[in-house]
Order: sequence, then structure tokens, then C-alpha cells
Amino acid sequence: MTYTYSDIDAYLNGELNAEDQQQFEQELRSNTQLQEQVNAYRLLNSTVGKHQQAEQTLPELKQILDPLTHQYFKQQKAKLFTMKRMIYMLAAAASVVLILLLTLPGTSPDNYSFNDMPGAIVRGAEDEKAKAAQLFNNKQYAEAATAFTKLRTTAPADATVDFYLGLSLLKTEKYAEALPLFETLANGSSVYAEDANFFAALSAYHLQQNDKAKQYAEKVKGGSRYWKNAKGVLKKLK
Amino acid sequence: MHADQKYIEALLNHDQRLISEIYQRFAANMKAYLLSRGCSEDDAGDVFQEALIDMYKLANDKQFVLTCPFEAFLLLLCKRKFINKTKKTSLTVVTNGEDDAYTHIPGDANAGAAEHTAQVEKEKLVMLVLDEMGNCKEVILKSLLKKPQEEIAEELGMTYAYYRKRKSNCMGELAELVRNKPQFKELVS
Repeated sequence: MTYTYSDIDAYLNGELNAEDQQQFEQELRSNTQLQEQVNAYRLLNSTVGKHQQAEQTLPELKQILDPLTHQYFKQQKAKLFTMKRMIYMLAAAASVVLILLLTLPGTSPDNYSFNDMPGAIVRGAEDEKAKAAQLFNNKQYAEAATAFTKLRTTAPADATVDFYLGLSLLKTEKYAEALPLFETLANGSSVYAEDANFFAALSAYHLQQNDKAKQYAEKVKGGSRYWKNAKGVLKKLK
Repeated sequence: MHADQKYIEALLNHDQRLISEIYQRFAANMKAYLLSRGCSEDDAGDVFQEALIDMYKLANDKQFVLTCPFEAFLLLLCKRKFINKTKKTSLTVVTNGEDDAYTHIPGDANAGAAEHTAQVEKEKLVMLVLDEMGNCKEVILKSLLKKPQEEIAEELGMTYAYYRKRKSNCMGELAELVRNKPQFKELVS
């Protein structure tokens, strides 16, 4: 007897009646082609289902992978320009710098950027960390700080929570509370250690703890995204 | 199960601490290896991250068991990815020199890594073929959603009976297309 893919689908879904199922299984025992077809059908079902499920949660994983890949692999791209284009660009850049020098008091170390907090997808009512991450990513920093502080009392130590709590406190100008968090991170071994040097420097700068601000700003390395901001802190301290 | 299964679990659970450890332990060697083969720093980062994502997809049903060191599997995936990248672009692979950064990986780890990598490539091929299947792709993907099949049939504008027939025919077509791909024959031989 010849079976179609509809029959295989019905068999695998347990939709054949008892008699048909018995016949199908009898054929399956001796028919190697049917065995291959059933195995392939089952395998494709599970493979496609698995990949589809992975795609749904992949953005969350990428939020973790992207900054790490950037940190460990990427460098600033050098572009080649023609001499004529270079001259135009230099002239334009010089004009912008001149205008900025004339109109602005100096580069503010507070003009910094940061990544959204990963893991902001709430899966259930109990997912407090994800809720806190959502508050942070929505720029509700005061509410985020409250949520992170609560989390620190109920959950195990977590460098991500400490880092984003520190940022929330910075954003709400609670520098005295932010500083010890960033100092601990800067002296630790988490993925946030590098960045925490700058934020510790910035917190100390706002608290007028100039020696400490200088100490942490000088630790920010050349390849760091906050190198220029750290230079800004050092310039302000002079 | 190899002790490095923890890194597979870390990817599945989005465990930031252990994922950072993956980069701390393996990124420098992998970068050095890829750069020595003519890869740029940016491409090396992409290759490394894509290899981790491949592992994530492979293990997403939580059935995957790592039978070799994580680094051996990662290295082989990165090698294959880089070679595929060079085929798509005008890049050339620098072939002189041995894998100096990886002399610490035992030889018997390669068999396990090769088996895992072949599985990744087979699954990738299935997804590539599915991508080219137009309406069948939509039917198959929807059929695997965790909701009543009658509802899916309605969303697709089909009667339930026709949807069931279409779904199984599409799966059959996918199976045949995959089976007839020369790369699939290479992978199973």
C-alpha cells in the first residue's frame, strides 16, 4: 500500500483510527522507504519548530552578545578619503569646532550614551528583573532605581542589576549612592568593570571628590567607548 | 556529556555571567586564529557571534548534548563560517601555518565537533530550503505555532481539511527538496 504525506502527518499526530494505525505500523516495519519518509517528516517538524522558537528569543540573546562582540572584536573603522575630500572635511570640521568653542563652555562629561538593559522581556508576573529593565529602557530612572534596589534585597548578587542601578542613580543625580556601586564594579571582574571606571569617575566628579574622579578617569582605556568622556572629566578637573 | 555543556546552557538561559566567560576564555584565541587566516577584526567578531547563535539554535529544544570541548566545536564552526564567507566575497584564506593557538585541543575532540557541526549545517540547509518555499513556508511555520490548528487554518483563509492536506504536502515537498540538495548528500555521506 502507498502512503501519502497526509497519512504520515495523521499517523504522527495520532489521528488514525485503530485499524488504520495498525496497518500503517505493519507497513512501517517492513517498508524502508516509508521509514525514511516518517523519520524525515518528524525531523523536519522538530528542526523547523526549534529554529522558529529560537528566532523568537534571539533578540534577547543578541542584547547580551552584541556589546561583548564589540568589546572583544570590533575596532573603529579607518576610511580612505581622497585628498580633496579630506581638505573639505577638515575645513568643515574646523568650522564646527570653532563654532563649538565659541558657543559652548566645553565638552560635558555628562554627555554619555549606554546600551539598553538586556532581558527586558517580561515572561510572567514574577519577572521583577525584566520589569525593572523595562522601566530603565523606558527612561523611568527613578522608578527603575526603586525596582533595582528592591531586587538587590531579594535576589542574588547580579552585576547587571548593580550597573543599571548605578546608571539610574546617576540619571537622578544621586551621585553619593551611585559611586560605591560603580567603585565595586570597577574593581571587580564583571563585564561592566571597564565602563564602571568612567561612571565612578563621573560620580566622584559630581561629588567634588576630585582625587577619586581623576583616579578612575585615568583608568579608562583608549579603546573604551567612554574614553572621550573620561578625558572630559580630567579636563574639568584641571 | 562534556563539562562544557554549561556554556550551551548559558546561551539557552541568556546567562550573562557565563556568556561573558565564553568571550573571556575563547575570543582572544579565535580572533588571533581568524586574523592569521586573513579575516578582518570586524568579520572575526561576526563569525564568532554567528557561531554562538548557531549553537543557540541547535540546542534550543534542550535536547542537545555536547560531547566535545566547547572550544573545539566553536573553532570548527568559526572555521566553516569563515570559509563560507570567503566563498561569498573576494576574500582569500591564508593557508600557511598550523592552528598554533589550538594545540591544547585534544585530537579526539575533533570527531565530536565535526558531528555537531554537521548537524548545524544540516539544519541550516533545511531552513535555507524552507526560506525559498513561498506560501509553503508560511503554512509550515504557522502549523508549528502553539495554537489550535483550526485557528491557523482560518488565519490562512483555508478550510481545515484543505489546510491539513496543504501542510502535509508542503512538508513532503520540503523533505524532497532537502533530500535532493547535493550539500545534503555530502552531509549524510
